[in-house]
Amino acid sequence: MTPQEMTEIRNRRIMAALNLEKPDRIPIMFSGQMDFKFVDPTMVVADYIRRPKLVDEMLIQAAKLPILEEIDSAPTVGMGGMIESMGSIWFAKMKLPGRELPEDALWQIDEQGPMTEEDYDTIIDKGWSVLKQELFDRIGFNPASMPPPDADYMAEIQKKVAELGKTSISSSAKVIPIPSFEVLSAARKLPQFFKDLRRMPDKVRAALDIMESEDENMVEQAIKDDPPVYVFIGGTRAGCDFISPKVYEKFYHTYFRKIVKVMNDNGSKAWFHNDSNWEGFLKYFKEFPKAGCIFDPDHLTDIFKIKEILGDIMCITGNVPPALTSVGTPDECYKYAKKLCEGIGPSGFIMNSGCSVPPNAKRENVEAVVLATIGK
Amino acid sequence: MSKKLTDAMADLNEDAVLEEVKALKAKDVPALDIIAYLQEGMSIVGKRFEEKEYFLSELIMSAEIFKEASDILGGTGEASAASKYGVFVMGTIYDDIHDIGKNIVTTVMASNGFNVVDLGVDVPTAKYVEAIRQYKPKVIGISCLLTTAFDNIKECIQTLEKEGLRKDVKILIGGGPVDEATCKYVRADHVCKNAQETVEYSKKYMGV
Repeated sequence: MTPQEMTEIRNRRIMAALNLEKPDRIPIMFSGQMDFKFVDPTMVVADYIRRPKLVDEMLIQAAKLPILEEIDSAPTVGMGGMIESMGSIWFAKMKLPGRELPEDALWQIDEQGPMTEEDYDTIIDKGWSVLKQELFDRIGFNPASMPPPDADYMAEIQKKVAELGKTSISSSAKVIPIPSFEVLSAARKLPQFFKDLRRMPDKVRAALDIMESEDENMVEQAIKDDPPVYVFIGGTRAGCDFISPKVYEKFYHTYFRKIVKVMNDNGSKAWFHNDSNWEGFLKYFKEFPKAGCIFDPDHLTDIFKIKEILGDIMCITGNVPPALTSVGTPDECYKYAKKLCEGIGPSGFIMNSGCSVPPNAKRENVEAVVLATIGK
Repeated sequence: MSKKLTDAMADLNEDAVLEEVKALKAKDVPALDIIAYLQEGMSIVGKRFEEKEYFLSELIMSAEIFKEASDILGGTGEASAASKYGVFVMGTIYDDIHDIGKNIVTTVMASNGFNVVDLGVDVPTAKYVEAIRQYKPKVIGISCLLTTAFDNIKECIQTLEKEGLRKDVKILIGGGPVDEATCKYVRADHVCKNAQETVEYSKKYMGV
């Protein structure tokens, strides 16, 4: 079988799951898999920054390893150059392995909270894009100073990835919308933002209206420029333990409602990557069109509740806990994955990690999840 | 009893809390008494959280307001002096800079009458060793949001054992990815799913 034929099989498998149909087998799409150590255990997380091309090569080799070759998603290559600028999404500085952190530590964001109370007026009067640039200036981040992507290298590495015969279905590469509530909570820092919600709810809502509208336009344009099957949306600071249903309805869900409509109207699905516990808010997702969304929780939301409440409406992915793949046993991983396959699958389910597979995941544990999913 | 301050704290009315603390201080009301009013308000916050009237967002806010009020009175040392129970030492393990969960737990513990020693984030093992020797807590908390830092907790606990400090202290762990498997792996005593569980476990262990 050629890689192209294999890709077609995997694409059909994934599309079946996304459309709530029964695939030939449950697809496996691990998020953020950093399994270069499965090939070379001496490598460290800092290699993402120091030797990004070598990391890409190792990720491609890892995708060919026995058992792991059954994973349908393609390895995430070309990450090296992006890590430094990732903090800017949160108006934060990055702490990097090998620089501020030990060589094998995971990069982390150090929130700065550069936005002031008066800045809400700037959003309302001049627009979010104007303030966003100002906030970048305040944290000393200049997007123009970042090295441009190496187009020749990316073409070369993507050719190698294509030869793996993995699925070609992935999220939009052009846009990753983040709910405006989350963006403000980072720009202000979480405690201050929660106080703003209490002290000046109307002003916050007015600013959110502007931000949400700008994002609708941005997402629509990005989908039109390069139509993806789905667009990834991250949600981390608004689970039902974090905020009340009243706050969620008024300040958060409005974003999902608007953005999902833009995505669905333009032929793309919404992939909700929702970390923390969302159980109490699952009922709000019932309003979305059938097969128009994907719910991708981490291990903190009871995935069986998601199946019960949303199983007829959207594909569910998940949710093998990072702790299980890093410190659990293969037997525990196998049993967990088997339970997911039997309880959530076989239709409308994609085997996935809860959030991501951590860099210290054990190879035998990831293999156990794969074996349980393919029924071996 | 300043019902006004207690109510303002319970209602998370930041301006009213700070104004009342300053007013009481100006009237020479002892700092320990003012802290007690704030703690009473924080107990109500905790109760409202248990009853699902408040959520983590309110706990985070209450932590901020409590800290601001304590700062007017000379810092958290005053709050510690007002503690009814023993010392609770807590920090986020080294190589991890996450602080939200730790801050919630330390504030809820302080407001429940524990003398909290907050070691901060990215805390090296030596600092836990030093704090245990100095403050002799019966319970310590280690927060961790990264699976890549699990080995650091394990190393920290092993060091406490080697230093002969393990037998007299219960070690609680918590944080997003932390679960029973982690607890077993790092050889901690208990996983706390939230701040309230930390309070209950500590009270029970200290016999209060």
